[in-house]
Amino acid sequence: MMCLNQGTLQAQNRYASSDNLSGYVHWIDLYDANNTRIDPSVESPPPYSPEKTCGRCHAFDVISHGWHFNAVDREANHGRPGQPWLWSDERTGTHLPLSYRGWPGTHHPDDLGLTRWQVAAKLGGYLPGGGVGSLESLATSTGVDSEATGDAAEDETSTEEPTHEVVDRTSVTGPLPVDCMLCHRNRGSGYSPFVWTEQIENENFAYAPTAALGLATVTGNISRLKDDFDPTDPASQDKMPKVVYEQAKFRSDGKVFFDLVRKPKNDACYYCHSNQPAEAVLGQRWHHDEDVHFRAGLACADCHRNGIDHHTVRGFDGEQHPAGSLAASLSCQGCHMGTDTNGQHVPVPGRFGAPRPAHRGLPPLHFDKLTCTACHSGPLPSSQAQRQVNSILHKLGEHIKRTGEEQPGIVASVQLPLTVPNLSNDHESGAEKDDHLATGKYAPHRLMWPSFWAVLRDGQVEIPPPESVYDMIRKPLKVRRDFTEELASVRLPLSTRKELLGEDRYRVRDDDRTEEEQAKIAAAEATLRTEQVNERMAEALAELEAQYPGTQAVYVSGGQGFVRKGEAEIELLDADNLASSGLSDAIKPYAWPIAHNVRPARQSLGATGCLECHSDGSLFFNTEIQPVGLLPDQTTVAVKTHELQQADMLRLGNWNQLFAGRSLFKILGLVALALTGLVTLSAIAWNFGSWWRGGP
Amino acid sequence: MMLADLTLTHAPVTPWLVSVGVTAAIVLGLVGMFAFATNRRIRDSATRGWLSRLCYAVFLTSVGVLAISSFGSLLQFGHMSGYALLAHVAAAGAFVFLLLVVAVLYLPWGGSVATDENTAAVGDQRWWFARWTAWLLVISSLLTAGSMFLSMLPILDTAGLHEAVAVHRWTGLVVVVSALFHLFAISCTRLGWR
Repeated sequence: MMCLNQGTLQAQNRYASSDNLSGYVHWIDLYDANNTRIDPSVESPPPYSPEKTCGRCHAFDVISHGWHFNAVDREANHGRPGQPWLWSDERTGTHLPLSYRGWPGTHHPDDLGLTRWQVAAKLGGYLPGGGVGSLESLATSTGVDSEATGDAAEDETSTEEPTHEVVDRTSVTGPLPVDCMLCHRNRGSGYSPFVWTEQIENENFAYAPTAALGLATVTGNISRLKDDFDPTDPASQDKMPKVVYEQAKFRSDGKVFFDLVRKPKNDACYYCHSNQPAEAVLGQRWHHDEDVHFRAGLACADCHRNGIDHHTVRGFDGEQHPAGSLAASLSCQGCHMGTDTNGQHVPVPGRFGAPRPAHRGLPPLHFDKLTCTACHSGPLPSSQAQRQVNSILHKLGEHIKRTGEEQPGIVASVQLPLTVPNLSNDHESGAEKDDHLATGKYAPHRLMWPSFWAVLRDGQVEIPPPESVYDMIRKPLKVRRDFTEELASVRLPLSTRKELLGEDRYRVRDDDRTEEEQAKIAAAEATLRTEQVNERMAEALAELEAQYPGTQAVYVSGGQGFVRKGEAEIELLDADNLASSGLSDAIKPYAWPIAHNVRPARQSLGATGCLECHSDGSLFFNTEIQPVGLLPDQTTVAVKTHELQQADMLRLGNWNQLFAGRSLFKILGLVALALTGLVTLSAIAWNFGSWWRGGP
Repeated sequence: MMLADLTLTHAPVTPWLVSVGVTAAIVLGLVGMFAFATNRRIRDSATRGWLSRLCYAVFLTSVGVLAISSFGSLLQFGHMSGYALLAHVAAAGAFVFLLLVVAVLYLPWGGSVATDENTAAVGDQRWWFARWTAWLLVISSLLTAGSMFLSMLPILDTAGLHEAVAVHRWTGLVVVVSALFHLFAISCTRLGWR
């Protein structure tokens, strides 16, 4: 820790700085990836390189290993599980939670046969660059398959199974550059994060910072170039994207104004860290409040701050951060209470005037059982967990119409025991690094149910590379773009319509039909849809089984597993089959804790009294959670929160009985204690009097 | 979780504790002056009938349940939860009300007069160990129950709540020890060893 801090200080001291709180006005030269100053007037100028431009004055090598860049760093402290990355393929109905950080419930991309380049290209649009897409990371990507498929290669059946093409277009796209301005842009600077996302989707990695900054227009699309395209070949330069700088933005000496801030603005954080109730996308955003900290004038980066090492404080209790006490004082407990859960640090409370919470009348046992966020964060409790949309998972920022039903379905808030890294694991001793423990403390969580295609073999679940799955099942599945929508899409043949509606009515427009006619058509379409889903899914599963002989193919969605039953039917795996096939864990929802929005104290859980939680049917234990499935007309099984909590409802029922007469107990108990006190004081007095008089 | 972890998170000298102490001192002084001025003697009307013994037995049982459910749970899990917590809260009800009975029956009343042979062990006739452990038992029990009742009332702030629970744990430990000693003392008397 000390070494890291010293290293950071040394890195900081390598460069001059203005050190004025008014900030430094960035009129600077642009440099390209070859460290050559950019002249915007030349023909086909190159895009600017943030590494070479910003890195002239800032410790780029240190910055680029901070929290937002170190997911692939095996030595990094990956901390408490958080929101996963997600591998989504809407064509196959696949939504797989990913993480290089070893968080329980996520899949390691290497294990799924996904190369670093694939992950960078797919998810880089909502990453600040570098990290998984850095040159350092991409260079190690070739080792992916040897580890992930090494065992399979030795397996007897592996020779019959498909070999998957390793997709790595690093030679075409180059690495994913770090874009400092994605976070450090000033509000209203003209920088567009969505242009960054678009450019990454087009695989214009090197061009994304320039286009997003609005310094130039970039035309061209590297994703359309073949895998063997050589960008260094002078003859093929005309196929590369073209950069046309806005020359009016260049000063006469060639310098450009970068409208940036040292401390990222909330808007910058929000681009990747927005979570909203689904109804917000339907015009109900004004129904919801901001985090109380924003109303108090704080910004994200006031608490989630970092030094030049960019090791951003995540702010959870027990976080192992190089900054030690400083980081501990930026957690809820550290800032408001001045205490540290693990007792390792001495936080400085009251930053920014953080009030000391009263918690009057709350038995302190609650502090052992609940995180701060359990009562103070997330949506208000409701009888049914509500759908939410998230910027990364649902690509908020893209200018499209939304319904709030976008996949993957995320619901919140659900109170679940928190999982934290097992701090007793000693990395240096070689103990298991990825081990996590349930603390027993409840915290609000978001949930999503993974959906994917897999094969079952000898009680083990094998997930084929998700990109290859589409190639294997696209013919029988007959889906080109959207799994759910296209599987559900049916159109009755004219003959069927005639049979249902008669000769005179079968050609009338949908809007002109009577209610009875519409009901007949809807019923017939539902039947046809069921047949279509069964038929196509069964054929797709059969195709997967053909590719993986000796296995049973399964499609997982909404906490359920579907297998083939004959040629044209699918069936649901029951609990016994799920357990024997090893799927029980794989179908479980992935949950990650909610930190924001923090509600005001008067809207905290329990603000109206004990019975808010300690009563039969309380929402803390009884919020209903409806898993979200992707199959058309899939009926998922709703669960109550206490089922996920694995709470003992008999015990909770007994608890609730105790709380029925709690007020009376308090009064009678206080009376009894007062009387006891009086008796005791009287006895003391009598004895004192007796002693004073010289008695025995 | 070790016993060493049962530390006072804050020194218990907050204003509320000072207020309680000052109030107790004033009341004690007034009652003492009354006793001294009037020279009245209390007549110990308690007889150790079956009801008294039952109350004492149930009280001791509740102390046992409270001790096992709290310290057992703390030592094993680091915090109280589950059925241990439920048992603790249920037993606390009996503890609070029976404490009054135990205080009336077992606190020594200086200069009290034994009325019959059944009360031979009462008052000044009792073994000093029984008298002092009775004091310790009742006072520590008062503090134990009082600290938790205080935390259930809208009086203490978060720091005060933490102090209250620390006081609760330490005085609770004293209750357990004093209850064992008191039981030992009266058992010795009853068995004729004293």
